[in-house]
Amino acid sequence: MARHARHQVGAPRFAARAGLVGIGIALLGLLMIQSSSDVRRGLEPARARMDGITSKLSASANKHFAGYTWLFANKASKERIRELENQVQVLERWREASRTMSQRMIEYEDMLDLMGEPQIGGVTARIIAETNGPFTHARIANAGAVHGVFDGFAVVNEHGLVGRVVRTGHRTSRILLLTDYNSRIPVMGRTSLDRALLVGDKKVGARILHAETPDLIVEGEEWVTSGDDGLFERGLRVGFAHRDKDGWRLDLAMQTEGLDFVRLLPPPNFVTPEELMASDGKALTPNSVDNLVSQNSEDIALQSSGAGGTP
Amino acid sequence: MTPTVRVRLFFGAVLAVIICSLGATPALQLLPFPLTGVWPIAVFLLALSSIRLGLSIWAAVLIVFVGFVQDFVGEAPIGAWAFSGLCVYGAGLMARNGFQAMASSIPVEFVSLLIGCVVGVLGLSIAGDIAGGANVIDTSLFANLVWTLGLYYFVSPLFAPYDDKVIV
Repeated sequence: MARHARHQVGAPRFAARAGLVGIGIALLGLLMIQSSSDVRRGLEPARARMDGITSKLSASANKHFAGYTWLFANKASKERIRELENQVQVLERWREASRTMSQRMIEYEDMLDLMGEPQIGGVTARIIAETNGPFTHARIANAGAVHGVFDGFAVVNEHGLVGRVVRTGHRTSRILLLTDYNSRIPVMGRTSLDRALLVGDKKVGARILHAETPDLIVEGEEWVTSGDDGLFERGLRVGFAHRDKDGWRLDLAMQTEGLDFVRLLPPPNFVTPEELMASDGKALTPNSVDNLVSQNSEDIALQSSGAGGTP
Repeated sequence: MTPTVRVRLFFGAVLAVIICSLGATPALQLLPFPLTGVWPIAVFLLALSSIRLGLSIWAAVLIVFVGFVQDFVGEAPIGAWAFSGLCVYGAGLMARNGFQAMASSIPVEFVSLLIGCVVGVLGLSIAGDIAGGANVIDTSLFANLVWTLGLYYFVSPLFAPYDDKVIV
């Protein structure tokens, strides 16, 4: 009887109300302790594991929707896909030629004792999940620590810089896009040589802040990474300058098309003279034969696991 | 709430988790209708649907669970979407009870949904402020909200039964 009476319309349920308020207060407490960076760091492994689960779910959904898209794709899209497949076959031959030439060049440099340009390695991966919520603009790629990807890697696609890796899981990595509010990248104009900070803006893409000589910036000027932070290679294309009522912003090159395949590039890893002396010259071995051999073996491993790497 | 309704609500929560995970699928951009960048807020769908079941700790726990999943998938501070969903549920319940007693001319369900959503967005903003999120409220969030409300009337029976007998 008492239980029945408790469930009547309009009857007060103090325990349930108190429970609801209690859960709300507990959640607020949980949010408050996350204002500490130590707590946020402690949550990173759990988030990395969850990235893996999200990527698996998205990958299976991706397969389903890929078939669905093909069903509804128009004639032009199908022709474009065939054209691109042919291009891939041609490029495969060029890749083999490039590998052979790289190997030969390294041998020549060794014979001449020549200090060549350090070759930046990297991993090609595919975007398998995306996060465009109110808190962050991010993507998940299907290459992680097992493929040699670590936090801080620059991410580019065929058009330009996409963002950087902020967390790596076992086989996944989370990429913070340039459009995210927390993204800060040092950039420079190709024509004006003006240096500035590129700050993510969810509304317009990204804004140019703290420009040294804003008067020299030209409308439509190409902007690239300046490499001042030591994390990004200098000269990666970022976008084109455009002025609006709030100041200069960049039309990001990566937004030309949807993101699909991306390349994850390691930081330049400059060696200081002190480090070079301490290592007896071994620190300068980015394009040694040993490295190339290990890169090729990584390529083979990546191709077998779905993500491809090229020298 | 009967065990049958509890089980039904649980499956509603599972559906919400699936909707949330599907929202992270890049291939959706390629579909022939404009879904790009806009996706229903799964935890809001569950919370809004739970309002008509009345006050229930079970419903609140499921909302918090779905909220946690959405926090992980959406890279939000842990607890932000859960708190926001709970705000939707609590405010919607209060509005529903309050307006039912006031006048029969007021469309109670619609008003409670609207109030729930407004308080939910405010809750999300508060959560962002507390845990360090920035610029949480923007046009894309409102686009998602409109999409959620529009979809609510079609998918709500999948989350919770439309049966006056279960209202407590």
